[in-house]
Amino acid sequence: MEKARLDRVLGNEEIRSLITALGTGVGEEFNIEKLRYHKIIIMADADVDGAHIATLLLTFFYRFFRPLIEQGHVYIAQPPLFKVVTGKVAHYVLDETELDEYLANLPENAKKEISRNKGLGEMDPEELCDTTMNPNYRSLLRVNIEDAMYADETFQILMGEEVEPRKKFIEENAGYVQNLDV
Amino acid sequence: MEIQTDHKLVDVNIAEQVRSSFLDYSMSVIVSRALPDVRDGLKPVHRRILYTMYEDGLTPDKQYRKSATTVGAVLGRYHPHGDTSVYDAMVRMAQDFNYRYPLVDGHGNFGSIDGFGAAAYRYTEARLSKVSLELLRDINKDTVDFVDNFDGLHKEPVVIPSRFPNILVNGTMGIAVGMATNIPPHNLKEVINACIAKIDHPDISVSELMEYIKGPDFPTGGIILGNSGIRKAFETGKGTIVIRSRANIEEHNNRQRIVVTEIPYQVNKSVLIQKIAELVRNKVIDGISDIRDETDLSGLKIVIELKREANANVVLNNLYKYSQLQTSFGINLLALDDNKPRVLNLNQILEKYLDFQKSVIVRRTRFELDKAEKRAHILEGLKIALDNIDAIIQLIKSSKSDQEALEGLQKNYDLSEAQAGAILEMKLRRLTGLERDKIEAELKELLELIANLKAILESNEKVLQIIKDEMMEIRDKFGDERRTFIDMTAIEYIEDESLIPVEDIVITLTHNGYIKRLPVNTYRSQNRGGVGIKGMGTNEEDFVEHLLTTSTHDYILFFSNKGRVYRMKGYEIPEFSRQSKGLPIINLLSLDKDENISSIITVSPDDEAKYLLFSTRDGLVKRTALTEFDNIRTSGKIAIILKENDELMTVRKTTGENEIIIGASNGRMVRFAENEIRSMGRSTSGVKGIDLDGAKVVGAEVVDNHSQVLVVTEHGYGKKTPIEEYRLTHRGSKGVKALNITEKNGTMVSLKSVTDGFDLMIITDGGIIMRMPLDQVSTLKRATQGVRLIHLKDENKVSTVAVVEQQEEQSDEEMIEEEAK
Repeated sequence: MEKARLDRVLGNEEIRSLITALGTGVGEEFNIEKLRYHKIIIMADADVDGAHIATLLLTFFYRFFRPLIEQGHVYIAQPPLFKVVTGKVAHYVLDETELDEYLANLPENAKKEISRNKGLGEMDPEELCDTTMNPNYRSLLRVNIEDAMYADETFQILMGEEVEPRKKFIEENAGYVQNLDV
Repeated sequence: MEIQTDHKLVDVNIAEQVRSSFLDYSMSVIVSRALPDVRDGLKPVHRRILYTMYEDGLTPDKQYRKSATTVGAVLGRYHPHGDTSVYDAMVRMAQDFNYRYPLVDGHGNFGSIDGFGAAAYRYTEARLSKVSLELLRDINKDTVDFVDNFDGLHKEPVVIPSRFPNILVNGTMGIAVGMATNIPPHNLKEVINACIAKIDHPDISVSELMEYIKGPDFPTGGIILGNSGIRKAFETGKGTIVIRSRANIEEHNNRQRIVVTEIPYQVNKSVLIQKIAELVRNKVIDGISDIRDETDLSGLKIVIELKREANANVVLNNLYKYSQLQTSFGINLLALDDNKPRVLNLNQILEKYLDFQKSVIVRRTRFELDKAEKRAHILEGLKIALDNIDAIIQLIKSSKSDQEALEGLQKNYDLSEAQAGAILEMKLRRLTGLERDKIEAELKELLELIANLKAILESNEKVLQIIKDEMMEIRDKFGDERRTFIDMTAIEYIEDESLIPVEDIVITLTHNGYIKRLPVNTYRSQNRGGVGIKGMGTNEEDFVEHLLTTSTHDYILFFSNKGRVYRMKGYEIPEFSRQSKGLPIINLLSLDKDENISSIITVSPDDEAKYLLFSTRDGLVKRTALTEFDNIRTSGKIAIILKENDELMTVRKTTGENEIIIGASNGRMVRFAENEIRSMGRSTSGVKGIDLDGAKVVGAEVVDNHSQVLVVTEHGYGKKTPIEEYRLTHRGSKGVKALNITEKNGTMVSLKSVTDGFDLMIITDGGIIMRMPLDQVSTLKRATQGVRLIHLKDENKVSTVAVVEQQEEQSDEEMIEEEAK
């Protein structure tokens, strides 16, 4: 079963390039000693579609490269959703809560310009580098598998073949949704 | 510029991260992409297109505008997604075979029912259709809420007023995450009449509503078979209906032909024709000589020419069965209610819709009241001005500035700022006597209007009456006749298994692999006292090799020579007439090229049998519990793992305490107790059943004390021997002699356990078939060479032996009971 799945995954060219870049090989040939990069950072749009792409990639790493996560090599980039320019300062925040907090602390009549970055493509290359990639400025999430059983169960429900558990999950958790894209 | 960021590293648990991201994504798809709002029946993309066209004034009285304009405006203002998703949605809204009442009026190539897409958006043009103005009507009267768009530069409506129940009238379909919606279109007139009935009788039942809404009404017409599926969908929100094409049988040049003028909703015509041609090519459907698409401007027309000998009704029924000339439509009335996905029944949908209309009317009335009061206020001011016009002119003339005049007027005549402002704006022509009367008349009218509007706001009944009146107006303007016919006389085609009656049926499979089902009673009555040759497709080339009785709800297991097993329910096997040979089984099961069915087993819940016994050509046997076969589908699973070049010969049901015999080509046979084989799982290969010594297995059976052992040899010799002549040996032994092999009779090719009352079929490798009653085969001792059963010419040899139903004499009841054992 797992092997059939791997064959299907390997049919995707992007995935093949990704595996080549990692250098570890995959499946029975996997050797973590050969890992070429020690930070593998998933960078996707700051919207719900980006979040979805990130979950698909996490599923891929979890199923085929679990040691990379166990040893703390997998990260998620945090592109800022808002930029607030006041005078000569460009302040970037990750979400609406942070934005509100920041705005509340600004002097009342400060002249400010707010812009929202829906996709990575909305930023200039320099801006993207400065805010999301530059080690001096960027924020990262480091992914771990604290509870392997819980992780297994999660992937089973959300990415498994059966639809019913997924539907149940959505129904039970609909109230906890954090970001809705309109 | 100085850059400030959070610059932090946070550890996250993969499960939590994936859970929350997945939830954000799936809920976003559910509430803001794939599902319609119950109030206006639109998904965000549709609403944004219609609103953008409305904003840009693309109304039906204006000229068409390039589709690219609208697509660009929708993307730029409201819909930050792909341009194709916008254009595709817009095209669908313009297609009269997709929308019962198209919301967009398209000009140019907007695609066809043959599946051709629309021309690119730089070619086509569009504007709003007339009916869609009724969806947008009153939107500028504060009837619905508006929210900021993605960049805060524009406001967009969260729902549009939808002055007719678009959710039902045009329907919709959409696939979200973990859920999907499929709402068929309905007739505008019927739905509005139902709304009116619901207003008059709020606790009306679904049955009563169905006197108004008969069921879905597709733009493509067609025929819905019966209304139980409709009723179920209206009552519960979910149900399946069957849609049939409108087809007529005509005489033409002394031959019959089938003319199709309407096809089921969402069926692609050219694909349909292609599929029918394939059915003809693959011999699934017989009797068709030609098929042509004669569709032209006068309408859809598919002509199916029949062969001279064909029965048009039979061909048409087969077309319904195997092609999209008949389809089923799974209704799922799922929509967003207060931004939450809910499956709603008909009554709930109408209730939600009418509640929304009430709020639209109340808000519109408030808006109009506010406007009227403001205007009356100004007019009152103007009236005061006219009454004192000379003094007022004096006051204005003596004022140094605008501001001073304004304040002076307010102070001296007790006017509001708005009134004073209006006086200053007044034109001199207003001073004529006629204008003065006009102001008074307008004021009088306004005061009446204000009283009326206030009365509406105080009375729920008045609000409902307005909804009714305005809906009736729309009904009378846009209502049309139903296009889809609901055939209440049709035998209901049932998808829901619980609706299929439990019936005893006969399944037959021929030597060449044709399968069919017959009701037991039909079979009996048609055969009673049968004289001469029976039907059942028994002819020179083919004959019924397997015949079994079962029930429509029981499972049937099919085992192939390749060791695979397939399972179907009785009712899933298509019913055919007694004379017809049936359908090639390859159409039902996914069999490989050289794979064929070697055994069929029926499984019923009250079966005594607990195990299946498998035996292979190379002498292996395996016993597996029947319960291991509970989850098999028509795609098949492994029943026994076969070694290379081996094949599965027979499968038999056993109780766990039966005895088994296995015969080999070298004329030997073992007989042993079943429990010598331990029970194994499905994906195993079994154990040695007989020591073959280079020979091949030619038969394996479950026997009882009354069984007789039939053997047939390659040169056409054979005999029967009572089972008691064979002593019980052990599994894996060489067994005892079942036949004396000589040069005359040749090797053993078949061994079967039989009882009298059946026929024996012998087939040679030269293709000759011979049939004889089993009673006529001599009963001889164990180690004898048998008697000649068939005279073989030249080098011909016996290739296959089958025991089949008797042709004459024996009554069918007996035979069926025999087989059922």
